Parts: sequence; C-alpha cells; structure tokens
Amino acid sequence: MSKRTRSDSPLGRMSGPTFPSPAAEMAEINRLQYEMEYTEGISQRMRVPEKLKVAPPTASLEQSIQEGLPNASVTMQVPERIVVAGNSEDIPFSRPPDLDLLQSTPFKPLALKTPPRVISLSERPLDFLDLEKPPPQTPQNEEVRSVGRLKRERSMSENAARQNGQLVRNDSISGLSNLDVTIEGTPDDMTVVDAASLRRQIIKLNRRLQLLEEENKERAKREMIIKRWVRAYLEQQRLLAPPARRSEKPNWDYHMEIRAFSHRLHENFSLDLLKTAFVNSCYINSETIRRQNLELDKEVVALNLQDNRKLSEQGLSFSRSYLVRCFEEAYPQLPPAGILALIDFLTTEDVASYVAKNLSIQDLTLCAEFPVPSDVLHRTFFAVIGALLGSSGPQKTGIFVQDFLIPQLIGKDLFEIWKSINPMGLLVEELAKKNISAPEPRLTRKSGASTVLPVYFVGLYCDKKMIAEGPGETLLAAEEEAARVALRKLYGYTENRRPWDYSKPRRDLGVEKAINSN
Amino acid sequence: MASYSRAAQQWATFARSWFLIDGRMQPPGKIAALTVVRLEGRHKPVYHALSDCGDHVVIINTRHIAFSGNKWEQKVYSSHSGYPGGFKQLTAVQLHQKDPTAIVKQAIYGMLPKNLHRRTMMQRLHLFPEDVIPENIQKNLLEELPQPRQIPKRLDEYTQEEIDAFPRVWNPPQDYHMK
Repeated sequence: MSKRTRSDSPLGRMSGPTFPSPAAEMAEINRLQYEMEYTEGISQRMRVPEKLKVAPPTASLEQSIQEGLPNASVTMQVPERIVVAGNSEDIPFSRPPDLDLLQSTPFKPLALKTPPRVISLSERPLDFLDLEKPPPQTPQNEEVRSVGRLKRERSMSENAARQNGQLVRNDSISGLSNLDVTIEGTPDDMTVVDAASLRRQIIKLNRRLQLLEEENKERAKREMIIKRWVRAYLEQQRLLAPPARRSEKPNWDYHMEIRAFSHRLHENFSLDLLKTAFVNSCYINSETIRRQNLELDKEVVALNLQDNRKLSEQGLSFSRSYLVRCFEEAYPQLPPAGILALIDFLTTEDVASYVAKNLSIQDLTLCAEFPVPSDVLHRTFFAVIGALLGSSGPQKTGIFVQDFLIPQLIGKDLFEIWKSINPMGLLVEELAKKNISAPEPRLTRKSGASTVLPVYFVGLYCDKKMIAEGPGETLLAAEEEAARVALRKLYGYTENRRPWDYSKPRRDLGVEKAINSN
Repeated sequence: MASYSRAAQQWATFARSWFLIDGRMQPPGKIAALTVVRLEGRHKPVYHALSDCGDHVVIINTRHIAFSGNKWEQKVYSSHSGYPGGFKQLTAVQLHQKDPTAIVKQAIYGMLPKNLHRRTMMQRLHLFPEDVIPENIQKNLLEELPQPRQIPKRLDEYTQEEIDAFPRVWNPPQDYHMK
C-alpha cells in the first residue's frame, strides 16, 4: 500500500509532454480538490474507476460527482499499454494514434483514478490478492460489480468510438474494459484464489491483445491515402509494365479455370480432353528445355503432356465440313467456289484468334511466348472444338461452331470475302446456265461528267428488263458494280436477305449417315 | 442501299448533283426557295451544315421571270457604294434591264444562310438569262426540277379546237346583240 502511494503518482506522469494542456490543467485542478478522498481510496485498494467517461458528461455522471464518490475524484487517463507479460520495451508497435484523440477530447472532471502509463504485471502484481480487508460494499459498488457494468462501459466506449468515428478505439477500449472487468471481477473470489485460472485468463487476454494490435496495424495500412500526384505515376507504371500471363498473376487455379471455362460455355467438356487441347508443342519444347536446364532427373520430372495437334486437325476438318453443309443449305444458288471462299474466311487465323481472345482462350493456352501469337490461338481454338467433338458429339459441336463462327459474317459483303476479278464474265456464265441472254449495259443516269467527281449509274438489261443497277466513278467501274449487284441478287446474298436463323436445328453427320444407310 | 459494294455506295451517297430549273413565267422568290434547298444540301438525308454536301443548280431563262402584282414597278433594290452620295435605288424593272440575272441572284443570296458558306454556295449557282448553256455545264446536268408555278395559258395560245370543245353555259339566240 505504501509502495502504491509512492509509486502511484500518476498525476505527475499524466502531465507529461504528450498530453495536451487542457486535460493536464483540469487534472491539476481536480487533484487539488479531491486529494483527500483520493488518498483514502487509493490506500484501500487498487480500483479501476467506476465509469470510464470520454463523452460529454451525462446527468448520472454529474450526480456521481455531487455525491462525492471516491472514484469520481481524479481525471482518468487511459494507460498507453497494458502488458500482461514481458517488458514494455519488447512491443515494437507504436502507441495507437487513436488513443491520443481519446485523451485530447476535453471532458468534464470525471475524477477517475489514473493507473500508470504502462502497467506490467511483472512489475506490479495484482494487488487485490494482497488485500486483507474486503472492499466496502456500498450499494453503488454492488450494482457496479454486476455484469451490467461491463455492458455500460462497453456501450460508453462504443458511443465514444461512434462519435469520433474510430472503430479501432472501440476494440481497444472494449479490450481494456474487458481487462478491467476481469481484474475487477476477481475480488469477489478473493477468498478462493486459483492461480491456475488466473493464469489462463491472463493468457487469453494476452492473445486477445496481440490480435487487436495486429488488426490495428492492418487497418492503418489499408486506410492509407494515395495522393493525387502519386496516383498518376502508379497508373503509368501499371501501364508500362510488360504484359504478363494471367497464370502468373495472383488468384489462378488452372483446374478450376478449365472447369469454369467449360461451365461458362454451357458445354460439357471432358476435362482431360480440354486440357490436352490447350497444350501446344512450343510449350512442351520449352518446358523440356527448362527442365533439362534445371538438371533434374528425366524420369522424375517427365512431362506427360500430349500435343493438341491432332485435336486441332479434327476440329478444323469438322468445322469446315459442318459449315459447308450449313451454307449449301442456306444459299443454294451460291456456287462451290463462293462457299469455299466463305469457309476459308471463317477459318482464317484472324477470325479464329479474335473469337478465341473473346472467349479468354489466350489465358488458358499453354504456350512458350506471351502474348500468344495468332496462329497458336487459331490452333488452340480448333483444338477446343476437337475436344468438344470428342466430349459431346457432332451435334453439340455443330451448334457451337454455328454460334461462334457464323456471326463473324455479319456486316460482311460477299465480294469482300470472295475476291473475283471478272464479275461480268461470271455473270454471263451464270445467266447462260439459266438460259438467259447476256445482259446489255445502259447508262441510266449521270452527273458531273465534266467535273473531277463524276458519278455514273449503269443498268444491266436482260430482254429489256433491268436486272441490276450500279454506281461508279467511271463508266467501266459502274458497269462492273452493276455486274456485282446482279451476281449478289442471283446468289441470294443481298444486304436485305433474311438474317441467319440460329434456332433451326441442323442435321448432324451421324443422323445423315443413318438416313443414307437406310 | 441496293447491295452495292462499300466504296460504290459511299461514292454514290456523297456525289454532287447538277440540277436544272427553267425560270420562264415563274416568280423569282419561288425559284429561289427551290434552289436554296438544293444549294445547302437539305434535300439529302445525309445533310449537315459542315458536310459541304450542297449541289449545283443551273437556272435558265432568268430574263423571263414573272413577278406577281405590281412588283416590277414597286419593288426597290437599294445599294450604297460606300462613298458619300453613293446610295442607289433601282426598281425591279430597271435592275432587270441592267442585268437580267440580278433579280434571281439577289433573291437567292438573301435566302441563303448568312454565314461564310454562302459565298461557296453562290459559286455553285449558275444563272443564264436565256436557255443557252455552255456545253460543259450541259454535260454535267443530272435532272430538271419541275417548275413551282403552273403557267396559265393566254387566250391566243388556245387552239380553235380547244375553244370549240369548251362547254358553253348557254347558247344565245341568233338575233342576240352582244356588246
């Protein structure tokens, strides 16, 4: 007790340099007023104050002040750190800045007893164990000791936290209040002191405190503000960074991605076929070289990966045959050369790599180079189709091909895809097949003939009926254009044709074979 | 439109047309209204003021335009040379005698939008007092626009058959003295 009075001059420490002056002044005033009661109370026992008030005082608090409780005598200072075990110097974390705010808010003379800045149990053992007299059981004390007090303290601290908008302090305060209550609660059991249970409690508290400190640090990191001049630089660095594979970035699970790919396309792929489809020969080569360079035993780390060449060939041939049948059905007048031109266009590298990129196949392909070159993407795309053929059969694969390749023809003109040199000759041939005489070109209208920007409209007449009309810069160009228009009309590939019907189910190879065999 | 290739479609859309209007017995204001629409390019669905999509208009027989009412004597065309005592006022008759294309020109100039495109549009207007047109312009023409006013027929322009065929309200008796 005596040592407590000597060492417990927290007021001196309270008015240290870190505390703002208003609190210190108030503390001084209160000390002078209530010194008598303070010394009385402190001599009895170490007692955490009744109320830990940081908000503006309520009526109840004022009442307690008027009653002149021994506890309401000293301004409260929350200790900087409560160390349950070990030295205070061991803790590397700085004092949470939130607690500063807590003390800087000027509060009315709460008159609470101040514990020292750093309390460590090693220095100061729990004094209530040494007490001889039980604490005076005043009516206020009794209600104070109830669990409701914990709740009140918690709620007050929460209020304070809410008012100041800092959740961190809430946690630390609730932690502290927990600590307070636990220490406070034990005087009841003073008669039966169980050291083991106390030790357990202390360990729990220690762990809890450490968690809180870590959480605090995390929050502080997360809430850092990036200044606007730093933001531009970071964005530039992000853009200048060399492109990296998606598989090298965080949150990548290859197996799950493959499954998700299958699910996303609403298809039922067999996963090993699909995985084989994504493996390219360049990847296998580069991987074997890498493993050789690492000088590992070949048998141990043999690459059991198959190429996607076979699947790619299967997929390509299936797509071509399927598309041939589609176009033959849709455009019966189109000659085989035209159909071939359309299919050649749809299976070019550009179209296939465009579709593949938009299906995110470039993220899943295993390839030596990055960004994935278009021929690799083309091969992988048709390998995926081959895998689908192996997993689900020709009908589903046909629907897949129709859904992803045929829309690439939207907005495209026939003669953009099918380069023809002599449309007039072609037209004469087509008309001859139908026993129609050769067309006669006539100038329908012209404007600005003597200017540098003339326009001529030439019409083609078969048996005095116009079959097509086309504009042009010169008479020859206009005649050629008219021939092209006539061909488009003959083949049924005009701009105003009916759009492709995706809902119509097409007979697949298997069914056709069955029909043919029957 | 009708399944043209892209280049051909674009060429046809943005080509500049040449229109012909005959001004014989037409009010110059109505002629001007027609030509202004075509000079600006407002008759095209791809019109935009900044697109420079206006066409050429050739007006022939501007000497034979017809003002309604007493405008030939009463309409005054004023101008000031900028020098003191340079205010000139001419009636329509006088101006027409001086320059047979001036009336139509003034009418069109006044109807065009008052911006810097106006001069360009006036350069695309070609006025001829009679129906004699230079050959190069004649080659450029695309179509003739219909005249805004229906020309009434003079009595001496009717043939005897038409006069006889015209229904009579009543047939006067033989000895009816017609004043």
